[in-house]
Amino acid sequence: MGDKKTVSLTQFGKRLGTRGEGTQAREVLLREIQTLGQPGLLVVDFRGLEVLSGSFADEALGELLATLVEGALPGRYVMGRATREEILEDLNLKLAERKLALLVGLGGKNWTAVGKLPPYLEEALRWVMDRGWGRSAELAQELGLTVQQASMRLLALGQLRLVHMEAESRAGGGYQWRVQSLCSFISGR
Amino acid sequence: MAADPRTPRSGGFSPRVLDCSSVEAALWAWQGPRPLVDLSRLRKFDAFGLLVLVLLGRILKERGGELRVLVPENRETHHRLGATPLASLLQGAYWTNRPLEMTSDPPPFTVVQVREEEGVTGLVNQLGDELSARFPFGERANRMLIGALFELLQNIPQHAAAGEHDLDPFGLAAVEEDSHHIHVVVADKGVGLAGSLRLNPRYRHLTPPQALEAILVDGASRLDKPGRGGTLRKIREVVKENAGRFYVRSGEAAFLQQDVEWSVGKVLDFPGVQISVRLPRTLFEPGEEG
Repeated sequence: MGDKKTVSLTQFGKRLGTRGEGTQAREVLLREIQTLGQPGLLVVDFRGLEVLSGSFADEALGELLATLVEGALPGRYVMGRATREEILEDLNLKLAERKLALLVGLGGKNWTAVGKLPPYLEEALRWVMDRGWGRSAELAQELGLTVQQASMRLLALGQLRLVHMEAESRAGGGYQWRVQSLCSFISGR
Repeated sequence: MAADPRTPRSGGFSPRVLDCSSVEAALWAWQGPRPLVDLSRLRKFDAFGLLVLVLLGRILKERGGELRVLVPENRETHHRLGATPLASLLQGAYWTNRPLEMTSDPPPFTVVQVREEEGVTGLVNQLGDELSARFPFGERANRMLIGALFELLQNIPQHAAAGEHDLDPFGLAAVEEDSHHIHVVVADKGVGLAGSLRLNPRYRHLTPPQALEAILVDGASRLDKPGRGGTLRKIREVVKENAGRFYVRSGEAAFLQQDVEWSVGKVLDFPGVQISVRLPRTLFEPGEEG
């Protein structure tokens, strides 16, 4: 389900450090995202990197995620793939400074949200990731929230581009959010 | 060896050691347009001492002065100094009481010159390859140090001439090892940390020591864009967490992080930024990984 592409960061080198190179990498990533249909997922592969500096990470991924969160390219998402969390340390700091987060798959069902994600949003994200998809009413029931609170959490995750969300009509009138985890793009769930 | 009667008198300051700890006293003694740098008794020097000496020579040349050097009398020290790129980096901007003998000995440490941002990756890869070959088991420590080198080296083209487009900051970097430490030095003669930070109106009022504290402790930057700043603070924190030593001198301020303590104060005014990062060698050796 959905369109997906993977870009390995090692195409820019094994040690990624300068802002100038980060800018070039961002342009490549942006071009790849623009070719995706909706919904579409770009997987940024960190595997094989020796060094990922904060400057490169901020310019390549911090700027890119900020652009998406501001509303560019709706229906398009970015997630990472890594085998070791240590390589993401400086990216984590830069995204946290920008109050952004990137979902990174660590192999199997393991994942982490790199950057800054408040605990209540992480709880909601974990629920979506475990299930693959869900609705605000179900989240509300699961976590003991009002539907409005659950909707707000899913909306926040959607704005951060950490889940794909669609509004669907409710039987009794109005609408509710149906969200889908980014990993389900990969697994086809 | 009998002293040459034509040799100028040094005025008394003749260090046995020229390193990160002794360079402040040396700069006090080597003031004026034609200071006599008496290295005749020198037995030991480190990359920090050498790079400050190079910058001093370049600054004096730009100001119409000249660095006058009494070369080390100790043969081993003389050869060690001759194996460094001191003479080539000074490009004739110095006088010596006798020729500094160039040797084909391997240099005591690697020195690279940082010009454009485009060249930074090549320089870091050169230093990183040497580090990885030397310490193949220090993957985590190598990554930490190479990441720091990226940040420190690109700061030179990005910030050292901020607001002063005609200024040549003459950025240099060196990596050396001794029996206990890996030592990284990055130095330039640019506008300095306070000079760069003052371009941000929020920090215009800060004194040089306050500017160092703002950058190194609070992560301040001359750029208010999100994601900018914080890199020197991060390096300081990494050094602190790994029982290293971090010394930054810039303009008339200096900052020292040692163990968990940091201090900042005034020193003799000297252009640019000079940074020393010293990490325990054990981090890079087998058994210390992870």
